[in-house]
Amino acid sequence: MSTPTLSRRVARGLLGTVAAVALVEWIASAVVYRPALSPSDWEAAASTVTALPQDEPVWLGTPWLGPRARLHLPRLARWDAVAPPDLRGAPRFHVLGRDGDAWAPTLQADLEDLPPPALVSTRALGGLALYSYEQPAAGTMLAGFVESARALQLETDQGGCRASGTSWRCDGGRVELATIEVGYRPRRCLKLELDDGTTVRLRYPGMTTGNVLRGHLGVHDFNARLRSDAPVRVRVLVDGQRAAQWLVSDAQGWWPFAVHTEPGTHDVELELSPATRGTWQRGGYDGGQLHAPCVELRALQEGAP
Amino acid sequence: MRESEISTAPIPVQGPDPVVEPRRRFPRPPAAWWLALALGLLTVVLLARGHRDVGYVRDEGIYFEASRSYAAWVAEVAEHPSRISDRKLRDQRFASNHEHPVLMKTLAGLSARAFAAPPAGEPTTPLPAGSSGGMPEGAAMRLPAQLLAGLGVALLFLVGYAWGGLGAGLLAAGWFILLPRVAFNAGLHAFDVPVAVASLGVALAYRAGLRRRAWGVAVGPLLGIAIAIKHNALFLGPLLALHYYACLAWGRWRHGHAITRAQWLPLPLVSMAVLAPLVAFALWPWIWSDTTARLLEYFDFHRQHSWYNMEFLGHNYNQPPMPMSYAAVMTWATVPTVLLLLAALGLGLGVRNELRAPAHAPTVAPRFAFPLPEGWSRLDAVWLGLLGLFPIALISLPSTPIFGGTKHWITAYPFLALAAVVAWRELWRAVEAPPRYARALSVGALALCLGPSAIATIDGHPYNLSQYAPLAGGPRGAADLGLNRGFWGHAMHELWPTLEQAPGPIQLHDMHELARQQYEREGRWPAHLAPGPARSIRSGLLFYELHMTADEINLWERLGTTAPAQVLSLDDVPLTSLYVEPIEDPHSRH
Repeated sequence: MSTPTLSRRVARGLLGTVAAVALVEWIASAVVYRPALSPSDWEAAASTVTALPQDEPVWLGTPWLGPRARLHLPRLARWDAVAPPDLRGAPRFHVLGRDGDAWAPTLQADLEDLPPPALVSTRALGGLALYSYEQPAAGTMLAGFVESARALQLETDQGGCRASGTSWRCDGGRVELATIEVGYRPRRCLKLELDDGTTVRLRYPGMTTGNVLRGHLGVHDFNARLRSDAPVRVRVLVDGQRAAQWLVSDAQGWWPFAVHTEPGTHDVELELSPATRGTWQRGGYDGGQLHAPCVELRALQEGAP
Repeated sequence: MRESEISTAPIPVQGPDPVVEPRRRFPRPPAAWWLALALGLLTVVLLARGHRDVGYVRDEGIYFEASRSYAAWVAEVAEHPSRISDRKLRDQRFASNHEHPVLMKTLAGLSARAFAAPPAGEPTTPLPAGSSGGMPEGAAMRLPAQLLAGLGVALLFLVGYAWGGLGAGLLAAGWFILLPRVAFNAGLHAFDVPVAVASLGVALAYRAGLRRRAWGVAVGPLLGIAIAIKHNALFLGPLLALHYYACLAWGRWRHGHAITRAQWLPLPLVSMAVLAPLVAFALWPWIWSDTTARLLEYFDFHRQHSWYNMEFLGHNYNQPPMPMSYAAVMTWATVPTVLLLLAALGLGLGVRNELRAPAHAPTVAPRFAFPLPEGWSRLDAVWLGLLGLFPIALISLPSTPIFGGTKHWITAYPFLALAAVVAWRELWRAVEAPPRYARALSVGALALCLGPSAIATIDGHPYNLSQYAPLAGGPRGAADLGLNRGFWGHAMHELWPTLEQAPGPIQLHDMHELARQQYEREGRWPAHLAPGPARSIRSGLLFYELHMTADEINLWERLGTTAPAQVLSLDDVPLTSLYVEPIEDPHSRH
């Protein structure tokens, strides 16, 4: 028998390390390879969430639980839970997640430039937990283009658009209230499918405004974003006066914008001009494969009125 | 001839092989062969039974269709041998899925002809009249790949046993087949585990061929078979040649051996260079005509492969370069750390042994047919390292198309399993455990090392494509980390009863229509549930991947609900949702 190439001490150390790692993995296996959530956890969450005030949104602290949360909790299937524009307008809100998931990267992104909210209570619901937050800086939402879509008046350079519920057919394209994907997340907004070079104006006459208008613009979906870089010109007009203008690209994701306003009632108009309608596919430019921008705008009262 | 006399006789042992010392080799008694056979058969039986619950993955749908076509050609040629030269017939039968060689698909088609039950209802393509078996057609088509997986387990056990005894044999076999991703892929009608096993066979034949003429000849045809399974094998020849010349250089510069002219271009390399292409050509009737153009098309297809979407650490990548760390991180996330640790120790100890091995003068002159006789190191650590790390390194290159799945470097795993065997043998030899406790300690340690894999695989079945290692946190940990959840539209098992109630038409999402047709052929697909165009659907499937978010949103819009009717989960993590148009929308669209 030839001499071992390792000393006994080193070999024992290495074998001990191997055994220790294996032991840690056994222990980890006992924890990770079984469901952590039971039906009773979801029942507890359902009854707790149902009892919450209707104007206090509930968001997810464990985003990948979304489908199960929507299955078990009607409140989590609402658009304000599924596709919020951001965390504004909610001075008090709740986060449902696995025990320990009090916050999520998605919520952090939606926080934008708001200060961190204050966690005011935690309710254990078995493997789940409900975290309640207060955000004094969130402001109050007074009106929104999405929320009051039926009140909007739309026109292009060719004339007015014909409304049918929350969709409009125009000379040069169509607009509809829709849910789109931006940054692999759902967003609720007014989706534009306009011919190349067409400008559309979305007017909200007599909109109740606070001290700021806040909106977002994004482009649906990842495939279209991959196949076109066409920008969109965004103009905000208040009582016919241009208040702001930007040129936005789809690489800017769910892009936030804001315009200060005087509290009161104003005619607010969004003027949008996408550069092109379609995308560049294998066979060249295809106007039928849409690169569709989508926009939302809300009037908020933030801070002291 | 002298050469043939020498090559068929046992080669005298002149010096220790630094990694596998012949005089320390455990004998390979018949019991080991029986045990290898038993392990192989057990693997096949478990895969054949267990994979009845594994849904048909996207690629299988296409392979099923191609397999029927290829096997029909074999049957026609068997009946009318002159039709083998009928180019029109060949082109017609082999055009389907011609971007991959045909060996596994042809075997699958023949297996279906032999073992499959007739299709249910109105088949798209009737089974041949000769079909007499009772297996579902898909299960019968999966059988050849499952048999190869069994062969792989048996081979690994035998090599492990020869290198380090029973425990080492079990470690080698278990290291490979108990991995959730390997167990999942091993049961499919696909090429990844088959080419991993074929690569192992080629590499072992090459290693033996360095000292035995018969294996030196055999390695070429074996490589041809491997290439006829999948293109991964195309890298084997250059890698093994690199290893061979590294051995020559090592022998020359480290041990002072003279390199003879007979060693310059030895039999194993000649066999791989000459016989492998011939065998691969013979096994792929599609390239019998228009050979150059079709081969160029084949190489171009894989060189300029489409970029898949792949989630990695919360980001969706669909444009190269993929982060170079992707393959390494995913290997860690899907293979228990203890197994990787053993493999790394094995490679390290193997290198250490090579460096410390004294020179031994070869008493037999190197010949064309046995170019590295005893006394020349076969650099087993380099052999294992090259074959175990190259597939991972290749996928890591920024210039490699985004393939995504861990299956693309599964060819590394048999060699990492053998590297683990080297560590196992060296550590137990050096640790000098008290004899009366040695066996119990060894059994305990083996159970400790293989347990996490086995538990993960049992837990993840039949969704092991979505399973993750314990230190990655299992499926929940992977979801938190933002790692891919699955990509083949197969996770269906618990949805079947609900699917019976779902209204049609249905959107299949990532389930391939040919996979659905396969379920239909086997009577598993609800008769009323036809797939339909997006605008007319009343229910829909959604297989979760980050970039599929847009598809789920489209389903919400079309069906008017964001609440699924059923969610299929693995350890809480949603894999598939079934959406159904609500009769009266209970809690959506607020």
